Amino acid sequence: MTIRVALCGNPNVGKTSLFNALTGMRQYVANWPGVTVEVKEGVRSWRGHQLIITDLPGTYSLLATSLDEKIARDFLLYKTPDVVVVIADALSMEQGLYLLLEILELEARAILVVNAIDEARQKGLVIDRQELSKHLKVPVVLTSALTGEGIQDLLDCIVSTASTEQKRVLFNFSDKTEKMIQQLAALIKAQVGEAASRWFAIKYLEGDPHVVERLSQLVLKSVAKPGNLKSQIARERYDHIQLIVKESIMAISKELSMSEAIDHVLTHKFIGIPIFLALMYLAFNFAFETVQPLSDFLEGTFSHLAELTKARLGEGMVTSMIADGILGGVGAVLAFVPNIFALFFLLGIMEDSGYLPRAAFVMDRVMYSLKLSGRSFMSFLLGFGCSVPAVLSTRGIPDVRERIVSVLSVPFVSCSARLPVYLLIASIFFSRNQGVVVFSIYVLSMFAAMISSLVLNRTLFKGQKGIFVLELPRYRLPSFRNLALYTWLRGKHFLVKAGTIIFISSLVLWALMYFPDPNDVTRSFAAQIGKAVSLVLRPLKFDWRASTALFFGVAAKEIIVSTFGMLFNTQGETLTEQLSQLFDPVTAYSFIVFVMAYIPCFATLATIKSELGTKYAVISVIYSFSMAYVLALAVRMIGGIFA
Amino acid sequence: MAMSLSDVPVGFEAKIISVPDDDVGSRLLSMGFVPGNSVKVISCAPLGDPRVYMVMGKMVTLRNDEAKRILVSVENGMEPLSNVTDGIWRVVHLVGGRNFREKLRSMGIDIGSTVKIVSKGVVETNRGVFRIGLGMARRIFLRRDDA
Amino acid sequence: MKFLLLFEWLTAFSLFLLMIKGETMLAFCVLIFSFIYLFGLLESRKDPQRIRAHAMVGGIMFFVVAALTFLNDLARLELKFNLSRALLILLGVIGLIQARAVRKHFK
Repeated sequence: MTIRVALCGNPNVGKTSLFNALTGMRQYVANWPGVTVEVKEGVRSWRGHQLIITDLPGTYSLLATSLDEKIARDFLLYKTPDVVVVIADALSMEQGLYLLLEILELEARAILVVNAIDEARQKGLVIDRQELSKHLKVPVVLTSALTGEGIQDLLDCIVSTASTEQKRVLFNFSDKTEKMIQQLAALIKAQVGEAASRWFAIKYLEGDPHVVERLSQLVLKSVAKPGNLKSQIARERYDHIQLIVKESIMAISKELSMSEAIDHVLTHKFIGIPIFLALMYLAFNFAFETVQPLSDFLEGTFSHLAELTKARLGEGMVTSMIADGILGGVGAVLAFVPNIFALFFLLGIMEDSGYLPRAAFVMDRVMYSLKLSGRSFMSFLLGFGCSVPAVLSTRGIPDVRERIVSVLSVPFVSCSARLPVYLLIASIFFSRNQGVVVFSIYVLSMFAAMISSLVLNRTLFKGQKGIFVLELPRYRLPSFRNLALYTWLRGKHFLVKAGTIIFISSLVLWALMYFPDPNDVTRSFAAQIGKAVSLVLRPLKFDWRASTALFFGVAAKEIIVSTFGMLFNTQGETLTEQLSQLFDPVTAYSFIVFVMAYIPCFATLATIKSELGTKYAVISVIYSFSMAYVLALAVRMIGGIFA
Repeated sequence: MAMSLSDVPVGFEAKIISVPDDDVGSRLLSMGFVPGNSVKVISCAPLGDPRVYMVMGKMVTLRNDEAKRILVSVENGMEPLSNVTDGIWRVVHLVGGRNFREKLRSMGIDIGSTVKIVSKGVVETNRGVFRIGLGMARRIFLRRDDA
Repeated sequence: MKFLLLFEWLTAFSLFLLMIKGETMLAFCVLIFSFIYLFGLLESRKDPQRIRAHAMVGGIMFFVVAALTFLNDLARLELKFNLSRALLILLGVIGLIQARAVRKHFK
């Protein structure tokens, strides 16, 4: 028999680790159309049954006020899983029980899981399972995802619950509220014949926007206005919950807990922010410096392989395709692998230990003025290393609006691949104050990212206001198993989704360069495209060679330098000389400004596509190109006044 | 009397009176910010915003913009000076740095001292009568002096 | 406890001075983390829990910075055994032991 199970719970109750414990490696990120929120599914066979487990996004309620809540609710409402497992945190069960009461209104077969029972026991907390079960009228399982305790019980419980009859266990509100609910429910049933009429009635009284809209044609106003009993209902549910909790849990002692102690230092008035910056620097250093030798080794191996192939097979189209196209493409993808895995490893540690929400908390005020939250600050910082991991790190920003804004703005932050271009241009045209020029570009890139997020918030998401609520979970030592799984799953996702795109695009680029005449780059299709592009770029005074270099730069920004070399067919001193005739200083500066802001490289675009979908990748191309154009034009005009 | 949650000083507990009547409010309700519940201010971020609150056993951060819209009453009969219009009160807590305290001390306002409120914002101390602005008055906490 | 913190802060601060020429960024990380100890010293004596909190978090931070620096050296295949590295690793090891010991005082 196949049993479909849904996991629900508040954020940070250890839902993901429980999911990992239940499914192990047999899991995948469910591809839900139009959904940017990550939903995972996994399979487990247990005592002859096949369990399909869906890990729903963490929510506090089923009121569809955020996307997460809507996804979780629609799943429960329309896909009706056989068993709903509601996970509550043993150390603060109230919010979890609140969610359970809401889910029970849907007349689902529910199981309450009280997780982190080991931590509760450590703190001298005793949870009475029978008492809880008696009051809530649902089976209760005590688990610890960390130690694996109670996982088998839970699996048994799922199997036995799935075969029980669907029963109505409803929480009765106070007489007055209950009367209103029943009146409404009767009306709803009579007018639309909706099965879950009681649920709709409650949601209507709670002012759920979707339900209110759906029921807008019905004549319900005579009984109650939508949202009439919003806080009354919440109040009555929590009163009930507090009663239950009082009966089934034995006292907690009150001393400065471990988490409070750590928080005292890490969110300290004076050193909180410096500590965050220092930790970010260390993380940055680890992800981009420490593992760099590994990246270099992989890249070196592949270019070595390419040379070997050329030597073995001799010149020719097939050789060039294998050596420059395929091996080059694979090498380009693999060069990212160490950085990406290192980054996810560190992000995993920060997320698992509970530091990540603190970092967001500490930096929030800074980002709030840009209509972002502290969570996205880190992505912007990572952007200085490479846009790809920076875009990937936006995963986990709970607010969709904010995530999209961050993804579209992060590529403006000047990544390390753009540095060679700045250095080349600066050394030729601004040899006296190279440092100042390069530094000014970096400052400009930060401003561009900031302006971009402001602009996007004002236009694309005008009038939408997200509420920033973070829960600060207890600190805990990250478990190696979870960490490895986290790193592997996210790294794999990148390799499969973005890797293929990077690979294919480098093949295409090879073809554009190779045909029709492999010996003369200036006649290649790529150069012809460059000539076409230069028509658009004429107001900026970029000629066809600069345009071609920019076109190639879309593959990876550092290629711009080598493209100049190929186009002029020289290198070193002569290249410098040739280039110095290509631009005047103003054009040179506007050129590097353009390089800073224009279209993200293929790898970044591929990542954006795999994270947010094709639509946003296209938007990113158009958006960054226009931004670069405007900026470069501004430099031209301002420079024109002075020059 | 009611005040904003964002004005409650760190370390104090308050009882929630109401939350805003919109999406933000629904979200807050489900997180435990329910009228009647008590909420404790745990700490604030280095730049003063957001702050951490303990509600129903969980630590939750809220931005001051949102906390401003939650009405609470501070427990044990404490009131910010901005809410008081008359009577004799004792100063129990000051929210601010050394400069702030110095300035108040020069007016005869210190923790433990007794003041007489003449009318809204006008305070009589043993140093004389002073008018105190709203910004400062929000950061001075009083308890009715029964003695 | 405070004596230990003072000793550690002095060590860390001199390490910062030692490293500032060669590895500026890393030196500043050490400086920032040394402030954790310094602010622990400034904590009131009546509140031993807070002093311990500083000792614990500072210990963990120094362990982290020492471990990452060691890994970084290892990756470049150039293990350094000069004075500053020795001090850093010493601080890291002491930090880890200290964090483990202090941990028992918290619930």
